[in-house]
Amino acid sequence: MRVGEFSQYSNYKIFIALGGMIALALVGTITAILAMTQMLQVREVSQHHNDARFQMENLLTNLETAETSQRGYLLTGDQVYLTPYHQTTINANRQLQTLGQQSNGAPYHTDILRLQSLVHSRLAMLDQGIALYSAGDIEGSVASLKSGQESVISGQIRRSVSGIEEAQAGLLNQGRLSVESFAGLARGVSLATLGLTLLLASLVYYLYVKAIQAERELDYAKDEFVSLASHQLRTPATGIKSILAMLVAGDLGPLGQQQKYFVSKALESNEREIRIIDELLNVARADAGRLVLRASELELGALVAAVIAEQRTAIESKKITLRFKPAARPIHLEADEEKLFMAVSNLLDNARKYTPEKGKITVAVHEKRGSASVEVTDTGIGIDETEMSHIFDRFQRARNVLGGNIEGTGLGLYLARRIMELHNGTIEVSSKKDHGTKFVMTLPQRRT
Amino acid sequence: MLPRVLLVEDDDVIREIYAMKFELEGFPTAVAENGQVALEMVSQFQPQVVLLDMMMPVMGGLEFMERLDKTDKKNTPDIIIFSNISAAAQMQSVMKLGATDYWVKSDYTPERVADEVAKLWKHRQVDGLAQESPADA
Repeated sequence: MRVGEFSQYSNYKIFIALGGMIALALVGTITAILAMTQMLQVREVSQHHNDARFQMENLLTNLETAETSQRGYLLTGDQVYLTPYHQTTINANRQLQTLGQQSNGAPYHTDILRLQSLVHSRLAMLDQGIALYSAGDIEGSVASLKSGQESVISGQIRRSVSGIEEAQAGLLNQGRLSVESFAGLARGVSLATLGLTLLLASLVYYLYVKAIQAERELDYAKDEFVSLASHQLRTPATGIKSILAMLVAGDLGPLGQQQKYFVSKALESNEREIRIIDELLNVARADAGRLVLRASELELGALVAAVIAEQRTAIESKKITLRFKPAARPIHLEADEEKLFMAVSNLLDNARKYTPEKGKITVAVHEKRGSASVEVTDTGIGIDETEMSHIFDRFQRARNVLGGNIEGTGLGLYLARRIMELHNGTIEVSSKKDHGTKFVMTLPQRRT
Repeated sequence: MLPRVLLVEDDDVIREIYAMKFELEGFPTAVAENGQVALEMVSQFQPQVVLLDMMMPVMGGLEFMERLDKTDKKNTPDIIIFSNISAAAQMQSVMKLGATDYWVKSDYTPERVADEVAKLWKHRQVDGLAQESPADA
Protein backbone atom coordinates (compact mmCIF):
# COMPACT_ATOMS: atom_id res chain seq x y z
CA MET A 1 0.00 0.00 0.00
CA ARG A 2 1.39 3.39 -0.95
CA VAL A 3 1.57 6.21 1.58
CA GLY A 4 -1.27 8.29 0.06
CA GLU A 5 -3.53 5.27 -0.16
CA PHE A 6 -2.93 4.46 3.48
CA SER A 7 -3.93 7.99 4.42
CA GLN A 8 -7.18 7.80 2.48
CA TYR A 9 -7.88 4.31 3.86
CA SER A 10 -7.33 5.62 7.40
CA ASN A 11 -9.71 8.52 6.85
CA TYR A 12 -12.32 6.07 5.60
CA LYS A 13 -11.90 3.95 8.73
CA ILE A 14 -12.12 7.02 10.97
CA PHE A 15 -15.47 7.94 9.40
CA ILE A 16 -16.77 4.37 9.88
CA ALA A 17 -15.68 4.38 13.54
CA LEU A 18 -17.27 7.81 14.12
CA GLY A 19 -20.47 6.55 12.47
CA GLY A 20 -20.37 3.55 14.84
CA MET A 21 -20.00 5.88 17.84
CA ILE A 22 -23.01 7.94 16.73
CA ALA A 23 -25.07 4.77 16.16
CA LEU A 24 -24.17 3.48 19.65
CA ALA A 25 -25.09 6.80 21.20
CA LEU A 26 -28.47 6.57 19.43
CA VAL A 27 -29.02 2.99 20.70
CA GLY A 28 -28.21 4.14 24.26
CA THR A 29 -30.57 7.11 24.02
CA ILE A 30 -33.44 5.08 22.52
CA THR A 31 -33.06 2.40 25.24
CA ALA A 32 -33.18 5.03 27.97
CA ILE A 33 -36.28 6.66 26.42
CA LEU A 34 -38.05 3.27 26.15
CA ALA A 35 -37.21 2.39 29.77
CA MET A 36 -38.53 5.74 30.97
CA THR A 37 -41.72 5.45 28.88
CA GLN A 38 -42.43 2.00 30.32
CA MET A 39 -41.89 3.22 33.87
CA LEU A 40 -44.29 6.10 33.27
CA GLN A 41 -46.89 3.69 31.88
CA VAL A 42 -46.64 1.43 34.95
CA ARG A 43 -46.96 4.45 37.23
CA GLU A 44 -50.09 5.53 35.37
CA VAL A 45 -51.62 2.05 35.65
CA SER A 46 -50.75 1.94 39.34
CA GLN A 47 -52.40 5.33 39.90
CA HIS A 48 -55.44 4.13 38.01
CA HIS A 49 -55.77 1.01 40.16
CA ASN A 50 -55.43 3.03 43.33
CA ASP A 51 -58.25 5.35 42.19
CA ALA A 52 -60.47 2.34 41.38
CA ARG A 53 -59.78 0.73 44.74
CA PHE A 54 -60.64 3.96 46.53
CA GLN A 55 -63.91 4.23 44.59
CA MET A 56 -64.83 0.62 45.44
CA GLU A 57 -64.10 1.09 49.14
CA ASN A 58 -66.32 4.19 49.17
CA LEU A 59 -68.99 2.30 47.26
CA LEU A 60 -69.05 -0.50 49.88
CA THR A 61 -69.18 2.06 52.69
CA ASN A 62 -72.09 3.91 51.03
CA LEU A 63 -73.90 0.65 50.42
CA GLU A 64 -73.48 -0.33 54.05
CA THR A 65 -74.76 3.07 55.23
CA ALA A 66 -77.78 2.75 52.88
CA GLU A 67 -78.57 -0.72 54.27
CA THR A 68 -78.27 0.49 57.91
CA SER A 69 -80.46 3.56 57.21
CA GLN A 70 -83.10 1.43 55.45
CA ARG A 71 -83.15 -1.05 58.33
CA GLY A 72 -83.51 1.79 60.88
CA TYR A 73 -86.45 3.23 58.96
CA LEU A 74 -88.20 -0.13 58.57
CA LEU A 75 -87.79 -0.97 62.27
CA THR A 76 -88.67 2.46 63.76
CA GLY A 77 -90.61 4.21 60.99
CA ASP A 78 -88.62 7.31 61.78
CA GLN A 79 -88.25 9.52 58.64
CA VAL A 80 -84.91 10.77 59.93
CA TYR A 81 -83.28 7.60 58.51
CA LEU A 82 -84.41 8.41 54.96
CA THR A 83 -82.06 11.42 54.48
CA PRO A 84 -78.77 9.48 54.82
CA TYR A 85 -80.37 6.64 52.88
CA HIS A 86 -81.12 8.83 49.83
CA GLN A 87 -77.73 10.56 50.03
CA THR A 88 -75.72 7.34 50.14
CA THR A 89 -77.73 5.71 47.32
CA ILE A 90 -77.03 8.78 45.13
CA ASN A 91 -73.32 8.56 46.04
CA ALA A 92 -73.25 4.83 45.31
CA ASN A 93 -74.79 5.35 41.86
CA ARG A 94 -72.29 8.11 41.06
CA GLN A 95 -69.37 5.91 42.13
CA LEU A 96 -70.65 3.04 40.00
CA GLN A 97 -70.75 5.37 37.01
CA THR A 98 -67.16 6.62 37.67
CA LEU A 99 -65.88 3.06 38.08
CA GLY A 100 -67.47 2.09 34.77
CA GLN A 101 -65.79 5.00 33.00
CA GLN A 102 -62.39 4.49 34.63
CA SER A 103 -62.23 0.78 33.92
CA ASN A 104 -63.14 1.23 30.27
CA GLY A 105 -60.50 -0.71 28.32
CA ALA A 106 -59.09 -2.44 31.43
CA PRO A 107 -59.04 -6.27 31.48
CA TYR A 108 -61.40 -6.27 34.52
CA HIS A 109 -64.02 -3.98 32.89
CA THR A 110 -66.54 -6.83 32.59
CA ASP A 111 -66.10 -7.52 36.34
CA ILE A 112 -66.93 -3.86 37.01
CA LEU A 113 -70.06 -4.15 34.84
CA ARG A 114 -71.11 -7.23 36.83
CA LEU A 115 -70.47 -5.32 40.08
CA GLN A 116 -72.65 -2.47 38.76
CA SER A 117 -75.48 -4.87 38.06
CA LEU A 118 -75.19 -6.52 41.53
CA VAL A 119 -75.15 -3.13 43.32
CA HIS A 120 -78.14 -1.94 41.25
CA SER A 121 -80.04 -5.09 42.25
CA ARG A 122 -79.16 -4.57 45.89
CA LEU A 123 -80.24 -0.90 45.77
CA ALA A 124 -83.48 -1.94 44.04
CA MET A 125 -84.18 -4.39 46.90
CA LEU A 126 -83.57 -1.63 49.48
CA ASP A 127 -85.89 0.73 47.55
CA GLN A 128 -88.54 -1.98 47.38
CA GLY A 129 -88.47 -2.48 51.23
CA ILE A 130 -88.94 1.26 51.76
CA ALA A 131 -91.72 1.40 49.17
CA LEU A 132 -93.63 -1.47 50.92
CA TYR A 133 -93.27 0.24 54.31
CA SER A 134 -94.43 3.57 52.95
CA ALA A 135 -97.45 1.86 51.38
CA GLY A 136 -98.35 0.47 54.85
CA ASP A 137 -97.26 -3.11 54.16
CA ILE A 138 -95.23 -3.36 57.36
CA GLU A 139 -95.11 -7.14 57.29
CA GLY A 140 -94.02 -7.30 53.69
CA SER A 141 -91.27 -4.84 54.32
CA VAL A 142 -90.00 -6.69 57.43
CA ALA A 143 -90.24 -9.96 55.50
CA SER A 144 -87.97 -8.43 52.83
CA LEU A 145 -85.40 -7.88 55.55
CA LYS A 146 -85.56 -11.52 56.58
CA SER A 147 -85.77 -13.14 53.18
CA GLY A 148 -82.01 -13.98 53.17
CA GLN A 149 -81.72 -12.84 49.54
CA GLU A 150 -80.04 -9.64 50.68
CA SER A 151 -77.16 -11.50 52.31
CA VAL A 152 -76.71 -13.58 49.11
CA ILE A 153 -76.34 -10.44 46.97
CA SER A 154 -74.13 -8.72 49.56
CA GLY A 155 -71.86 -11.77 49.54
CA GLN A 156 -71.75 -11.67 45.73
CA ILE A 157 -70.85 -7.94 45.82
CA ARG A 158 -67.99 -8.52 48.29
CA ARG A 159 -66.61 -11.42 46.23
CA SER A 160 -66.90 -9.34 43.08
CA VAL A 161 -64.94 -6.46 44.72
CA SER A 162 -62.21 -8.74 46.02
CA GLY A 163 -62.02 -10.44 42.56
CA ILE A 164 -61.51 -7.04 40.93
CA GLU A 165 -58.87 -6.10 43.50
CA GLU A 166 -57.02 -9.34 42.85
CA ALA A 167 -57.09 -8.74 39.09
CA GLN A 168 -55.75 -5.23 39.64
CA ALA A 169 -52.97 -6.46 41.93
CA GLY A 170 -52.02 -9.11 39.34
CA LEU A 171 -51.81 -6.52 36.58
CA LEU A 172 -49.76 -4.18 38.75
CA ASN A 173 -47.37 -6.95 39.64
CA GLN A 174 -47.03 -7.95 36.00
CA GLY A 175 -46.18 -4.30 35.11
CA ARG A 176 -43.59 -4.10 37.86
CA LEU A 177 -41.94 -7.31 36.73
CA SER A 178 -41.89 -6.13 33.16
CA VAL A 179 -40.31 -2.80 34.18
CA GLU A 180 -37.73 -4.58 36.31
CA SER A 181 -36.73 -6.93 33.51
CA PHE A 182 -36.60 -4.07 31.00
CA ALA A 183 -34.54 -1.96 33.41
CA GLY A 184 -32.04 -4.84 33.69
CA LEU A 185 -31.86 -5.05 29.90
CA ALA A 186 -31.48 -1.26 29.60
CA ARG A 187 -28.64 -1.31 32.15
CA GLY A 188 -26.89 -4.07 30.17
CA VAL A 189 -27.37 -2.21 26.89
CA SER A 190 -26.11 1.06 28.43
CA LEU A 191 -22.97 -0.59 29.82
CA ALA A 192 -22.27 -2.35 26.53
CA THR A 193 -22.84 0.91 24.63
CA LEU A 194 -20.49 2.77 26.94
CA GLY A 195 -17.80 0.09 26.60
CA LEU A 196 -18.10 -0.04 22.81
CA THR A 197 -18.11 3.76 22.55
CA LEU A 198 -14.88 3.93 24.57
CA LEU A 199 -13.38 1.22 22.37
CA LEU A 200 -14.38 3.08 19.21
CA ALA A 201 -13.07 6.38 20.62
CA SER A 202 -9.70 4.70 21.21
CA LEU A 203 -9.80 3.31 17.68
CA VAL A 204 -10.60 6.78 16.25
CA TYR A 205 -7.67 8.27 18.19
CA TYR A 206 -5.33 5.53 16.99
CA LEU A 207 -6.41 5.97 13.36
CA TYR A 208 -6.11 9.75 13.63
CA VAL A 209 -2.52 9.49 14.90
CA LYS A 210 -1.75 6.99 12.12
CA ALA A 211 -3.26 9.27 9.49
CA ILE A 212 -1.17 12.23 10.66
CA GLN A 213 1.94 10.07 10.57
CA ALA A 214 1.06 8.96 7.04
CA GLU A 215 0.57 12.59 5.96
CA ARG A 216 4.04 13.42 7.30
CA GLU A 217 5.53 10.47 5.43
CA LEU A 218 3.78 11.65 2.29
CA ASP A 219 5.17 15.18 2.72
CA TYR A 220 8.63 13.73 3.23
CA ALA A 221 8.27 11.52 0.13
CA LYS A 222 7.13 14.56 -1.92
CA ASP A 223 10.10 16.57 -0.68
CA GLU A 224 12.48 13.73 -1.53
CA PHE A 225 10.97 13.51 -4.99
CA VAL A 226 11.33 17.24 -5.61
CA SER A 227 14.97 17.13 -4.46
CA LEU A 228 15.72 14.19 -6.72
CA ALA A 229 13.91 15.73 -9.70
CA SER A 230 15.76 18.97 -9.05
CA HIS A 231 19.11 17.19 -9.17
CA GLN A 232 18.35 15.05 -12.20
CA LEU A 233 16.96 17.93 -14.29
CA ARG A 234 19.67 20.41 -13.42
CA THR A 235 22.73 18.16 -13.88
CA PRO A 236 22.71 17.85 -17.70
CA ALA A 237 21.71 21.51 -18.08
CA THR A 238 24.61 22.48 -15.80
CA GLY A 239 27.03 20.40 -17.89
CA ILE A 240 25.98 22.29 -21.02
CA LYS A 241 26.20 25.62 -19.17
CA SER A 242 29.76 24.88 -18.01
CA ILE A 243 30.96 24.02 -21.53
CA LEU A 244 29.22 27.02 -23.15
CA ALA A 245 30.58 29.38 -20.49
CA MET A 246 34.09 28.05 -21.07
CA LEU A 247 33.68 28.52 -24.83
CA VAL A 248 32.43 32.10 -24.42
CA ALA A 249 35.29 32.90 -22.02
CA GLY A 250 37.74 31.63 -24.64
CA ASP A 251 39.06 28.93 -22.29
CA LEU A 252 38.69 26.31 -25.01
CA GLY A 253 40.41 28.33 -27.70
CA PRO A 254 39.52 31.50 -29.61
CA LEU A 255 36.11 31.71 -31.35
CA GLY A 256 35.22 33.66 -34.48
CA GLN A 257 32.82 36.60 -34.06
CA GLN A 258 29.81 34.69 -35.42
CA GLN A 259 30.70 31.55 -33.43
CA LYS A 260 30.96 33.60 -30.22
CA TYR A 261 27.59 35.27 -30.97
CA PHE A 262 25.75 31.97 -31.40
CA VAL A 263 27.49 30.25 -28.46
CA SER A 264 26.41 33.25 -26.30
CA LYS A 265 22.84 32.79 -27.55
CA ALA A 266 23.05 29.08 -26.68
CA LEU A 267 24.27 30.03 -23.21
CA GLU A 268 21.33 32.46 -22.78
CA SER A 269 18.85 29.73 -23.80
CA ASN A 270 20.52 27.29 -21.45
CA GLU A 271 20.28 29.76 -18.57
CA ARG A 272 16.61 30.36 -19.38
CA GLU A 273 16.07 26.60 -19.32
CA ILE A 274 17.67 26.38 -15.87
CA ARG A 275 15.44 29.25 -14.66
CA ILE A 276 12.32 27.44 -15.92
CA ILE A 277 13.43 24.21 -14.19
CA ASP A 278 13.94 26.21 -10.98
CA GLU A 279 10.51 27.84 -11.29
CA LEU A 280 8.80 24.47 -11.82
CA LEU A 281 10.62 22.98 -8.85
CA ASN A 282 9.75 25.96 -6.68
CA VAL A 283 6.10 25.53 -7.64
CA ALA A 284 6.32 21.83 -6.74
CA ARG A 285 7.86 22.82 -3.40
CA ALA A 286 5.26 25.52 -2.78
CA ASP A 287 2.47 23.03 -3.53
CA ALA A 288 4.02 20.47 -1.19
CA GLY A 289 4.16 23.19 1.49
CA ARG A 290 7.95 23.01 1.49
CA LEU A 291 8.89 26.43 0.24
CA VAL A 292 10.88 27.24 3.34
CA LEU A 293 11.93 30.76 4.29
CA ARG A 294 15.52 31.41 5.24
CA ALA A 295 15.12 34.87 6.65
CA SER A 296 17.96 37.23 7.32
CA GLU A 297 18.24 40.98 7.69
CA LEU A 298 18.40 42.83 4.39
CA GLU A 299 18.03 46.30 2.93
CA LEU A 300 15.09 46.39 0.56
CA GLY A 301 16.38 49.25 -1.62
CA ALA A 302 19.67 47.44 -2.25
CA LEU A 303 17.83 44.23 -3.15
CA VAL A 304 15.57 46.04 -5.65
CA ALA A 305 18.59 47.89 -7.10
CA ALA A 306 20.32 44.51 -7.62
CA VAL A 307 17.26 43.15 -9.48
CA ILE A 308 17.24 46.28 -11.68
CA ALA A 309 20.97 45.98 -12.38
CA GLU A 310 20.48 42.38 -13.49
CA GLN A 311 17.66 43.22 -15.91
CA ARG A 312 18.63 46.74 -17.05
CA THR A 313 20.41 45.57 -20.21
CA ALA A 314 17.51 43.35 -21.30
CA ILE A 315 14.96 46.13 -20.62
CA GLU A 316 16.93 48.90 -22.32
CA SER A 317 17.69 46.72 -25.33
CA LYS A 318 13.90 46.84 -25.93
CA LYS A 319 14.17 50.68 -25.92
CA ILE A 320 12.08 50.81 -22.74
CA THR A 321 12.81 53.65 -20.29
CA LEU A 322 13.53 52.27 -16.84
CA ARG A 323 13.23 54.51 -13.77
CA PHE A 324 14.03 53.65 -10.20
CA LYS A 325 12.62 55.67 -7.30
CA PRO A 326 14.34 54.53 -4.10
CA ALA A 327 12.91 55.24 -0.64
CA ALA A 328 14.02 58.34 1.28
CA ARG A 329 16.08 56.21 3.67
CA PRO A 330 17.29 52.58 3.86
CA ILE A 331 14.56 50.03 4.75
CA HIS A 332 15.86 47.17 6.86
CA LEU A 333 13.68 44.11 7.23
CA GLU A 334 13.82 40.38 7.87
CA ALA A 335 13.16 38.35 4.75
CA ASP A 336 14.42 35.50 2.59
CA GLU A 337 16.78 37.38 0.27
CA GLU A 338 16.87 34.78 -2.50
CA LYS A 339 13.09 34.38 -2.65
CA LEU A 340 12.34 38.08 -2.34
CA PHE A 341 14.85 38.71 -5.14
CA MET A 342 12.97 36.12 -7.21
CA ALA A 343 9.57 37.76 -6.51
CA VAL A 344 10.77 41.29 -7.47
CA SER A 345 12.63 39.85 -10.44
CA ASN A 346 9.48 38.06 -11.64
CA LEU A 347 7.48 41.32 -11.50
CA LEU A 348 10.12 43.29 -13.40
CA ASP A 349 10.57 40.50 -15.94
CA ASN A 350 6.80 40.48 -16.42
CA ALA A 351 6.73 44.25 -16.97
CA ARG A 352 9.49 43.93 -19.60
CA LYS A 353 7.66 41.13 -21.43
CA TYR A 354 4.35 42.97 -21.64
CA THR A 355 5.64 46.49 -22.37
CA PRO A 356 6.12 47.31 -26.04
CA GLU A 357 9.14 49.21 -27.41
CA LYS A 358 9.53 52.84 -26.29
CA GLY A 359 7.41 52.12 -23.24
CA LYS A 360 8.23 53.02 -19.65
CA ILE A 361 8.77 50.96 -16.49
CA THR A 362 9.01 52.56 -13.05
CA VAL A 363 10.16 50.71 -9.94
CA ALA A 364 9.56 52.45 -6.62
CA VAL A 365 10.29 51.51 -3.01
CA HIS A 366 8.23 53.06 -0.20
CA GLU A 367 8.10 52.85 3.55
CA LYS A 368 4.85 53.30 5.44
CA ARG A 369 4.10 52.84 9.12
CA GLY A 370 5.11 49.24 9.88
CA SER A 371 5.33 48.11 6.26
CA ALA A 372 7.49 48.43 3.19
CA SER A 373 6.37 48.16 -0.42
CA VAL A 374 7.79 47.70 -3.89
CA GLU A 375 5.80 49.07 -6.84
CA VAL A 376 6.42 48.03 -10.43
CA THR A 377 4.46 50.17 -12.92
CA ASP A 378 4.56 49.76 -16.68
CA THR A 379 2.95 51.33 -19.73
CA GLY A 380 2.36 47.90 -21.27
CA ILE A 381 -0.62 46.14 -22.81
CA GLY A 382 -2.50 45.98 -19.50
CA ILE A 383 -4.67 43.17 -18.24
CA ASP A 384 -8.21 42.48 -19.35
CA GLU A 385 -10.76 42.73 -16.52
CA THR A 386 -11.84 39.13 -17.08
CA GLU A 387 -8.27 37.95 -16.53
CA MET A 388 -7.58 40.01 -13.39
CA SER A 389 -8.98 37.43 -10.95
CA HIS A 390 -6.77 34.64 -12.39
CA ILE A 391 -3.55 36.58 -12.79
CA PHE A 392 -1.91 35.00 -9.72
CA ASP A 393 -2.98 31.44 -10.54
CA ARG A 394 -0.54 28.84 -11.80
CA PHE A 395 0.18 28.74 -15.54
CA GLN A 396 -1.78 31.97 -16.14
CA ARG A 397 -0.56 34.78 -18.34
CA ALA A 398 -2.16 37.70 -20.01
CA ARG A 399 -3.29 37.13 -23.57
CA ASN A 400 -0.38 37.55 -25.92
CA VAL A 401 -1.23 40.52 -28.10
CA LEU A 402 2.32 41.25 -29.19
CA GLY A 403 2.40 38.41 -31.69
CA GLY A 404 3.39 35.28 -29.84
CA ASN A 405 6.91 36.22 -28.77
CA ILE A 406 6.45 36.21 -24.99
CA GLU A 407 8.42 33.48 -23.32
CA GLY A 408 7.94 32.04 -19.83
CA THR A 409 6.09 29.40 -17.87
CA GLY A 410 3.22 31.49 -16.53
CA LEU A 411 4.45 30.68 -13.01
CA GLY A 412 6.21 33.93 -12.12
CA LEU A 413 3.24 35.75 -10.59
CA TYR A 414 2.03 32.60 -8.84
CA LEU A 415 5.44 32.23 -7.19
CA ALA A 416 5.57 35.95 -6.34
CA ARG A 417 2.20 35.58 -4.57
CA ARG A 418 3.36 32.44 -2.67
CA ILE A 419 6.60 34.17 -1.64
CA MET A 420 4.61 37.17 -0.36
CA GLU A 421 2.26 34.85 1.57
CA LEU A 422 5.26 33.16 3.20
CA HIS A 423 6.44 36.60 4.36
CA ASN A 424 2.92 37.47 5.65
CA GLY A 425 2.86 40.11 2.93
CA THR A 426 0.47 40.90 0.08
CA ILE A 427 0.61 41.46 -3.63
CA GLU A 428 -1.95 43.58 -5.48
CA VAL A 429 -2.52 44.48 -9.08
CA SER A 430 -4.32 47.31 -10.82
CA SER A 431 -4.46 47.65 -14.55
CA LYS A 432 -6.09 49.47 -17.43
CA LYS A 433 -6.31 47.76 -20.78
CA ASP A 434 -3.79 49.23 -23.30
CA HIS A 435 -2.51 51.72 -20.71
CA GLY A 436 -0.44 49.63 -18.34
CA THR A 437 -0.26 47.67 -15.10
CA LYS A 438 0.87 48.35 -11.57
CA PHE A 439 1.91 45.63 -9.11
CA VAL A 440 2.38 46.49 -5.43
CA MET A 441 4.12 44.09 -3.07
CA THR A 442 3.78 44.95 0.62
CA LEU A 443 5.83 43.38 3.40
CA PRO A 444 5.40 43.76 7.14
CA GLN A 445 8.44 45.54 8.53
CA ARG A 446 9.95 44.16 11.70
CA ARG A 447 12.97 46.08 12.77
CA THR A 448 15.86 43.97 13.97
CA MET B 1 49.55 31.05 -4.19
CA LEU B 2 46.41 29.21 -5.20
CA PRO B 3 45.03 26.34 -3.08
CA ARG B 4 45.12 22.66 -3.97
CA VAL B 5 41.58 21.84 -5.15
CA LEU B 6 39.94 18.43 -5.07
CA LEU B 7 36.91 18.21 -7.33
CA VAL B 8 34.51 15.42 -6.26
CA GLU B 9 31.92 14.95 -8.99
CA ASP B 10 30.31 11.91 -10.61
CA ASP B 11 29.16 13.63 -13.82
CA ASP B 12 32.00 13.18 -16.37
CA VAL B 13 31.23 16.36 -18.34
CA ILE B 14 31.11 18.62 -15.31
CA ARG B 15 34.17 17.01 -13.70
CA GLU B 16 36.23 17.29 -16.87
CA ILE B 17 35.28 20.88 -17.70
CA TYR B 18 35.77 22.19 -14.15
CA ALA B 19 39.10 20.36 -13.81
CA MET B 20 40.19 21.97 -17.07
CA LYS B 21 39.15 25.44 -15.84
CA PHE B 22 40.96 25.05 -12.50
CA GLU B 23 44.12 23.87 -14.24
CA LEU B 24 43.90 26.74 -16.74
CA GLU B 25 43.66 29.18 -13.84
CA GLY B 26 46.69 27.57 -12.22
CA PHE B 27 45.09 25.66 -9.33
CA PRO B 28 46.83 22.37 -8.47
CA THR B 29 43.83 20.13 -9.18
CA ALA B 30 42.79 16.54 -8.50
CA VAL B 31 39.49 14.81 -9.24
CA ALA B 32 37.46 12.01 -7.69
CA GLU B 33 34.25 10.42 -9.01
CA ASN B 34 32.76 9.56 -5.62
CA GLY B 35 33.20 10.02 -1.88
CA GLN B 36 35.24 6.85 -1.37
CA VAL B 37 37.86 7.80 -3.97
CA ALA B 38 37.82 11.31 -2.51
CA LEU B 39 38.69 10.01 0.98
CA GLU B 40 41.80 8.30 -0.49
CA MET B 41 42.68 11.45 -2.43
CA VAL B 42 42.45 13.57 0.73
CA SER B 43 45.33 11.65 2.32
CA GLN B 44 47.40 11.47 -0.89
CA PHE B 45 46.79 14.92 -2.41
CA GLN B 46 46.05 16.85 0.80
CA PRO B 47 43.68 19.35 -0.80
CA GLN B 48 43.03 22.74 0.78
CA VAL B 49 39.62 23.16 -0.83
CA VAL B 50 37.20 20.37 -1.71
CA LEU B 51 34.34 21.02 -4.12
CA LEU B 52 31.91 18.29 -3.15
CA ASP B 53 28.90 16.99 -5.03
CA MET B 54 26.15 15.40 -2.88
CA MET B 55 24.46 12.67 -4.88
CA MET B 56 27.07 10.21 -6.14
CA PRO B 57 27.23 6.43 -6.50
CA VAL B 58 29.28 4.26 -4.07
CA MET B 59 29.59 7.07 -1.50
CA GLY B 60 27.69 10.37 -1.48
CA GLY B 61 28.82 13.75 -0.20
CA LEU B 62 27.08 13.43 3.16
CA GLU B 63 28.87 10.16 4.03
CA PHE B 64 32.19 11.64 2.86
CA MET B 65 31.63 14.53 5.28
CA GLU B 66 30.86 12.14 8.13
CA ARG B 67 33.92 9.97 7.48
CA LEU B 68 36.39 12.76 6.83
CA ASP B 69 38.90 13.04 9.66
CA LYS B 70 38.50 16.57 11.02
CA THR B 71 40.62 16.18 14.14
CA ASP B 72 43.53 18.25 12.78
CA LYS B 73 41.60 21.48 12.19
CA LYS B 74 44.52 23.30 10.63
CA ASN B 75 44.94 20.71 7.90
CA THR B 76 41.23 20.00 7.33
CA PRO B 77 40.28 21.34 3.91
CA ASP B 78 37.50 23.87 3.34
CA ILE B 79 34.57 21.91 2.01
CA ILE B 80 32.25 23.64 -0.41
CA ILE B 81 29.11 21.74 -1.27
CA PHE B 82 28.69 22.02 -5.02
CA SER B 83 25.40 20.34 -5.74
CA ASN B 84 22.23 20.74 -7.74
CA ILE B 85 20.12 19.81 -4.73
CA SER B 86 18.69 23.00 -3.29
CA ALA B 87 16.49 21.57 -0.50
CA ALA B 88 16.76 23.61 2.69
CA ALA B 89 16.87 20.50 4.92
CA GLN B 90 19.82 19.05 3.00
CA MET B 91 21.70 22.37 3.15
CA GLN B 92 21.21 22.62 6.90
CA SER B 93 22.41 19.06 7.59
CA VAL B 94 25.68 19.45 5.61
CA MET B 95 26.35 22.87 7.09
CA LYS B 96 26.04 21.25 10.53
CA LEU B 97 28.67 18.70 9.49
CA GLY B 98 31.14 21.54 8.97
CA ALA B 99 30.80 22.59 5.33
CA THR B 100 32.18 26.07 4.57
CA ASP B 101 29.48 26.98 2.02
CA TYR B 102 26.76 25.58 -0.21
CA TRP B 103 26.77 26.55 -3.87
CA VAL B 104 23.91 25.47 -6.15
CA LYS B 105 25.75 24.21 -9.25
CA SER B 106 23.29 25.46 -11.85
CA ASP B 107 23.74 29.05 -10.59
CA TYR B 108 27.50 28.98 -11.32
CA THR B 109 29.85 28.97 -14.29
CA PRO B 110 33.41 27.51 -14.16
CA GLU B 111 34.79 31.04 -14.23
CA ARG B 112 32.72 32.17 -11.26
CA VAL B 113 33.60 29.05 -9.25
CA ALA B 114 37.34 29.57 -9.90
CA ASP B 115 36.98 33.23 -8.84
CA GLU B 116 35.04 32.38 -5.67
CA VAL B 117 37.52 29.66 -4.66
CA ALA B 118 40.40 32.08 -5.18
CA LYS B 119 38.58 34.72 -3.09
CA LEU B 120 37.85 32.22 -0.32
CA TRP B 121 41.50 31.17 -0.23
CA LYS B 122 42.63 34.78 -0.07
CA HIS B 123 40.33 35.35 2.95
CA ARG B 124 41.70 32.24 4.62
CA GLN B 125 45.24 33.49 4.23
CA VAL B 126 44.35 36.93 5.62
CA ASP B 127 42.58 35.26 8.57
CA GLY B 128 45.59 32.96 9.09
CA LEU B 129 48.01 35.90 9.18
CA ALA B 130 45.73 37.77 11.57
CA GLN B 131 45.73 34.78 13.91
CA GLU B 132 49.49 34.31 13.70
CA SER B 133 50.44 37.99 14.14
CA PRO B 134 49.70 38.30 17.92
CA ALA B 135 51.95 35.30 18.53
CA ASP B 136 54.65 36.86 16.37
CA ALA B 137 54.35 40.08 18.29
